Amino acid sequence: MIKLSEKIQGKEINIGPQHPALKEPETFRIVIESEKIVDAIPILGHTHRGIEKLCESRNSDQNLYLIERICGICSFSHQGNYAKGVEEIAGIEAPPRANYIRVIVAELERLHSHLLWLGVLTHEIGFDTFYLLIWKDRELIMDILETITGNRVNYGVNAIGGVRNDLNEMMIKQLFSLLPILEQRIQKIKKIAVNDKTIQARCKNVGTISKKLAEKTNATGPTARSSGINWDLRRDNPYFVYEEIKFKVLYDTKGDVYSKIILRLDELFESISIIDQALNNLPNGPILSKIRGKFNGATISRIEAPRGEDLHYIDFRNDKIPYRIKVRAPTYANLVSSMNVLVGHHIADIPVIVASCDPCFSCTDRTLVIDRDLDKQYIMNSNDLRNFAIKVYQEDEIL
Amino acid sequence: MVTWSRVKSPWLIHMNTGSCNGCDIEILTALAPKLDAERYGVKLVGSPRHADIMICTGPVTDKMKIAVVKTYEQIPNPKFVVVVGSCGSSGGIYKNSYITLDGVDNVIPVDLYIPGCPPKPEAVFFGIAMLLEKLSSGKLPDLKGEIL
Amino acid sequence: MKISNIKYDLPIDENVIISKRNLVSGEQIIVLKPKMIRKTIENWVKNNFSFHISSLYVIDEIDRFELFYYVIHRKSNLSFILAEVLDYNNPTTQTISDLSGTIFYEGEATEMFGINFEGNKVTEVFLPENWNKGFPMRKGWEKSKKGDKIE
Repeated sequence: MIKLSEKIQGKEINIGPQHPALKEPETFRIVIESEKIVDAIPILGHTHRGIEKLCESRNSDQNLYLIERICGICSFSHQGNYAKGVEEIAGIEAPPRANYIRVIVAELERLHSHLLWLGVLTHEIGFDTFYLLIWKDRELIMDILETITGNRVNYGVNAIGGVRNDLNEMMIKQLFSLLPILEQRIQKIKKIAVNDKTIQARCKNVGTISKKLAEKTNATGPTARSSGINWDLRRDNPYFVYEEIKFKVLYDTKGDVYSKIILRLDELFESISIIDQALNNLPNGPILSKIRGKFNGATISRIEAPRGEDLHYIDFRNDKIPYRIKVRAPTYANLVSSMNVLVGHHIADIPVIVASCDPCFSCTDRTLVIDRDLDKQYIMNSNDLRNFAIKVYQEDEIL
Repeated sequence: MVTWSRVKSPWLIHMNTGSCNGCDIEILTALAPKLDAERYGVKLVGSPRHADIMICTGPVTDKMKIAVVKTYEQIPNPKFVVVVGSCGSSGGIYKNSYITLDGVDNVIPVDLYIPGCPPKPEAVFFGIAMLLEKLSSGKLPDLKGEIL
Repeated sequence: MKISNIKYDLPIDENVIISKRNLVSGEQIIVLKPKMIRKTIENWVKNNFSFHISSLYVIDEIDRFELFYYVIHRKSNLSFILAEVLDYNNPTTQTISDLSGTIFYEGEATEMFGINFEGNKVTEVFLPENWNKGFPMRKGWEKSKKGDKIE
């Protein structure tokens, strides 16, 4: 555990590790002076399951399903990344049709992940109507994912050398008919997000990550792009078949939470257009060039997951079982910048800022407030913290 | 009267004990518009003091063990524990890891398991309905011929 | 973009390079002399060489540790790997967490492999407090007794 510097005076808050709403358990130790945050330290590892060590005892096929379960939200990204890496080592390429199907599933995952994130963020600012509205539209994507892959969350669609599930005529028709509906729904969501005063009041100029900070702390994905770093692996280091698809890489320069909302919503339109192009260009042919046996070589495989750059180091040494697998998930990279940004804000802004980097964990429940002067402890749960945050902003408006 | 009100408004507390988030989003989906479990009075609360049922997901990591036990102790009696997902039931795919405890039942007593990786929202819904059935009548419903 | 496709002078002093090799994916691994990574990165910061450290990973090679920094040059989108070989019995190197946001990556390497980063206070990231069962990611490490059942 990190020792806080002795000089810092003030209250110390522990946020976490248990959370009522959705996200994974995580603790944040936050030092405050009256209402201002002066230091923030995340305590990770509540969901540390030792996956990297487990990978060293299972063979390449078994690892596909273990790595998929690193995260239930970006399960395809991790699995696709691993499959891509092993294919590189084996020296084979997945058939074109398989790569197109991978692109379609990856973009569907981005759609559902971004909508999920926006729902959670609006829940954190107390706008529950919008949250339920977004989750209703998200079900459309979950249904089509279930139709295509057979599962709602851990799709299991990849195999080493291709994909397991083919698209048939009915699925393609269904996807084509879904896309305009989805576009319309997201238009509607964007209209609310742009015009609503609550969202603007809570998110504008909050949690601003400057370009300099984002560069120094190695931020990736939408967190970096909203701060003015024009970097997207789909364009800059194309994988699967992204070099054959036309799309824009969007970026913003403001870096606050509001610009992240708009950026992510705009990315969804690009995703829809990518799926449309991929479906139109879908080639015929096999979907799997099966490979088994021993592999030899080391590689680094990177793809653009919904939250940013996902990096896998895969090392086989003439064996079925990998010698070493290292996974660096995007949240891990974005964490340092969000922690830096918390300093100087109010307690009421913690949920929004922490949620803004789309953490694969996060926690605002059971806040333990330790008042160093009075030697008094009391516990706030997440609902209290949220209500407190909403109350503070209501009072601000009245004043 | 007490049983009646418990069956009509079961309040849940959700505890992620180290899962991959898959089960958690499916639990929330069960509460969100498509299925809308709230129409049966099911409500997610933030504090363990308000809760009747504790929903656990995940194989319980070493670091979460204390939090799980403490949260369980804070729930007023009578309390029920529902485990959602394979890894919470038995350790699942994380079995034999150096840091997980292979299932929630190694830490606290469990009343109901909902298997699946992750179970569909319908299954979560069904599992909770079964627990409520058991509460009101005292025995489990007859499930002959039912396929989930 | 692969290193072979681009001509760009890497701002690394040729004298500190021990060897070079390539990964399957095309990235070049540049092995530096001990404790030269910090100096190299200090030079980059001084000369405004805009870089991104994507990841830091360690491999246990039974008789030594190898430490790798995955670096991307932002302007040319060129990616390469800086490496350092560490002694197995006393793996020590200098931190770069004040120059780049690698504070948790280094803490993770400390607790999983026992590598000592001089100047980095973070030594626990993922494992529970008071963990005293050794360094789990080292080869040959076996899990000891599991947690006891709580009644």
